[in-house]
Amino acid sequence: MAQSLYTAAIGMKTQQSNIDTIANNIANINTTAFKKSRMNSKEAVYSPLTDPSGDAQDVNLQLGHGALLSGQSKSFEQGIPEETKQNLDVAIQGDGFFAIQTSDNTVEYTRNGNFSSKNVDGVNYLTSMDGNFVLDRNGQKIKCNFPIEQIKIDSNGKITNSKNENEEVATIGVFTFANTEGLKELGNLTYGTTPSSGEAVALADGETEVKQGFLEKSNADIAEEMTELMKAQRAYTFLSRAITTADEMKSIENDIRR
Amino acid sequence: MIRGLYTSTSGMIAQQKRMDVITNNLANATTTGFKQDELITSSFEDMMVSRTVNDAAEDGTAEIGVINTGIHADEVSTSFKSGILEETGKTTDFAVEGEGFFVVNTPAGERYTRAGEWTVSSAGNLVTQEGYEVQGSQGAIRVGDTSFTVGRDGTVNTATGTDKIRLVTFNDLKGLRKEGNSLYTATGTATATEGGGQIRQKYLESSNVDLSKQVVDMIEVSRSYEINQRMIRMQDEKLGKSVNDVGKI
Repeated sequence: MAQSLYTAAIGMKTQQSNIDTIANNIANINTTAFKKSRMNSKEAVYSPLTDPSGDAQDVNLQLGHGALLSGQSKSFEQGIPEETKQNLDVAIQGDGFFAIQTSDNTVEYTRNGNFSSKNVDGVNYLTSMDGNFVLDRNGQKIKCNFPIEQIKIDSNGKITNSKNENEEVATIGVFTFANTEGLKELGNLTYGTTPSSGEAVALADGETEVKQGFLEKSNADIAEEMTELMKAQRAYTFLSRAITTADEMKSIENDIRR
Repeated sequence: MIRGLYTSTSGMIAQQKRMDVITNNLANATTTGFKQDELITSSFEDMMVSRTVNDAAEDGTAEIGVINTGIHADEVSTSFKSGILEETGKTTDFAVEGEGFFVVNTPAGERYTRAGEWTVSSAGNLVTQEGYEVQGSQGAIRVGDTSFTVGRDGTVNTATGTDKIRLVTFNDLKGLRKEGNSLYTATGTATATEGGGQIRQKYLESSNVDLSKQVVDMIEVSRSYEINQRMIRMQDEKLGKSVNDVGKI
């Protein structure tokens, strides 16, 4: 009997994680280049129910024990590019990630093209908002000898001086992975490679489209998230109802003999 | 009289099991590809009831009818009705439209599932969340990366070639057993035949649990549990009367 109490509790826990994930998606509805996640659940184990008639169990007579989390999947679907008219804002149209080098020299990948610049020893470097270096196609830091306001980025990610078209700096690296879903989240909208994602491969000219003056919006959609939330909440409510009912049944048992 | 006590108890036990099954349905209300269960109860076999007669002309007994002594859990019936297909936009999500099951290869052998929430393994194969390989016409399906497409007939087009996702149907769905992880195993007379409905990429089949039915069933369970308890109590009181009060002056 206590079984249904546990089954309902496990189910509620699963729904809770589901709601947490949805809440995070909603919280990031306006975060640049945010990618929504979804909790996946699966059936828990099944065990045989005993049949007191003693018949051979050639019929289906087994009981499930709730639902468990099976994993979290991330949707790398493209967010809508939004025009910002800032010359250091870039958005990737289609697949790919920018590479950034953190202070401890590890390379991380991000879709967030909200860039900035940093002056180190009199040289301007293209950086992310947190001051990490943006890397070019060959994995080198991007140096810029002219004022940062004159940066012009073409659709291949090639950076030139808007005052002097021939002054080429570098090409912003856009990298793809064999299995994008295998990337691990490092927080701050950055991702790291794993054996499952495979190594980063730089995209050549024409294989990618970079848009200057645009930022990629979050791919979470409020209507969709609200629907998911309602579904999860409804399941949660019914499960708590199941706990109440199972509890009532327990108390009925205790009342058999007054 | 004492027989009645056991009859009522069997009713309570059967209702408990129904409750367990309903709770499992509710817990899986959002599980991809879940099919709802229902516990079927049946009564114990009828027994002949006789009365003792004093008439010497008869053999001492006379049958007056049948009674049965309660119910028991007989079978769990799974509803294989299709759930609603929901668009997810993910390349590695699949749903079966119509009949049929996907085939996955587990260490324990081939298993079947309606849950197509898959991913690409480090070896480049299409696998379930648990890492079991999804079966195509030539075994594991090698897709390499996530830039592949799958047609409605299950044809997988990748950069390196084509494959076909296997679908099977069963002659006897009652022979399928759930074994957790959203997988089914075929037992007894259930034999798999290749073929089935259409495959939809970027869709998932939602759970087919009918929430309102579960809640109504839950109310019914709880009430019949209560009634059976009342019956036990009543019979207990009657027993108490006959044991303690009969013959008291």
